[in-house]
Amino acid sequence: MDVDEFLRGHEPPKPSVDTDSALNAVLRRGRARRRRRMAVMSSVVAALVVVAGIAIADREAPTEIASTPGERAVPTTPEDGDPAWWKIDPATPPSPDRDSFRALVTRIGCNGGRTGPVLRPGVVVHEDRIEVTFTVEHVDGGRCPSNLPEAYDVDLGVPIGGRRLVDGRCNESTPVGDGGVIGLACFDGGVKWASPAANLDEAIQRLGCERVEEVNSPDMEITPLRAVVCGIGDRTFGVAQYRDAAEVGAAFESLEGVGMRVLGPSWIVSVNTPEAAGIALSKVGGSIFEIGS
Amino acid sequence: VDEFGPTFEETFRREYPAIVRAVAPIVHGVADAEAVTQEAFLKALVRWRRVGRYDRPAAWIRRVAIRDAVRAAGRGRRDTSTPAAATDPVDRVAEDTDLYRALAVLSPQQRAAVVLHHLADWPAAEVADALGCSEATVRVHLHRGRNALAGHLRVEVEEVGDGR
Repeated sequence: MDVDEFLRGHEPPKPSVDTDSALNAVLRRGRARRRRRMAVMSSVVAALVVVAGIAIADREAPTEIASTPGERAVPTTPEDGDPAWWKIDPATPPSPDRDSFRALVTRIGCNGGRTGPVLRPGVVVHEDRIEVTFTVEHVDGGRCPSNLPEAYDVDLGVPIGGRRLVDGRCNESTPVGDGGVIGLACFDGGVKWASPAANLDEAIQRLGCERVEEVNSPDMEITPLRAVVCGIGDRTFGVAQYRDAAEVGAAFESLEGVGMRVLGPSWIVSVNTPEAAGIALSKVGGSIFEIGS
Repeated sequence: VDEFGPTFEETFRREYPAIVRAVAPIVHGVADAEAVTQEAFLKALVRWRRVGRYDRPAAWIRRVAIRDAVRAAGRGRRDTSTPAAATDPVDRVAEDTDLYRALAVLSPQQRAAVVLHHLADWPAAEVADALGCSEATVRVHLHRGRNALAGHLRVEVEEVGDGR
């Protein structure tokens, strides 16, 4: 028997499926998954806030945003106070032509979940980076749920340009991934934002990829315009370019954020460890505004 | 009318049996085909606001189902996290074990290409779209798949001739 004859004699089975039951099962699971996703999204938001991993209670966001008062000379040193770390406010990402940005500042020490008043930060402008160091009003300590961040508008005095925005509290002596708050805040070398690469080729160039492999990814639910695996030594980065921010969000969602960091304002996703994401951020640009599991 | 809107339900009712039918020979069974197909519809449902706006939402669902089926066939085992198929086995038409045995000699991609193109009559371009590869790659899968099938059928004929 030849192949054509065999195939002609074996049409696909015509299963008598129970479409109603199947539909009900899918709708039921859809509702459950949606509830679960809401819980996951809540935990992602919480992860951004709760660095030490301790749950926090719902509280009102501050309505007034502190800022650097008036004109001032750079560099400045931070006012005396308790140490704090910061990150970019994802709602208002910086841009190279701006001379200010909004930081979300979090008290490092214990204070019953409150960061408290943010003091004037120290700002040191270098050729390739701007170091910003925050302090918060001194307190004598308190219970230790992690603290909610406070927004603070930082006047840099100069346009950001191609410089990276770096937490000045992180430096080379900071043990990366030491498990403490500073270790977590500094896993990316303290880089909180860098001017995003304009496209994937520029991202590859900036990363300094030693090996570049184009990826045809039928496994990806949201097919990127282009995806590459970039190897540097024994480290591997997956970088993908999508059409717009909505697709980036959908791709992130489809993998439920596992091992992914959204780096660019709309289009670059790095699939790797937090440390690798930090390296990618410092070189490719953008800001880490989602933290997956 | 379900809370997710009638369009998803209409799409489900129209497409579900056909997708199960296409997927079954790839995963070697209607039960697994139903599980894979339901998972594909579930993925569509949770992002229906976007998928539902596509020109051909059913094509997106079919593509996800086919790719998941190829992956499941590659794993060679049933995903136990998926629910049992909703179909009553008593109502099910007997599954084509001859066909499944013959297709088992093919790689998952070859099997999907042969099933979709030769059994379900999908054009090569549509198969390529579903598998996420080029038409040329589909033709390679078809060529190698047919060769492997021919070899299998020759052995079967010889075994029957030998009285085995």
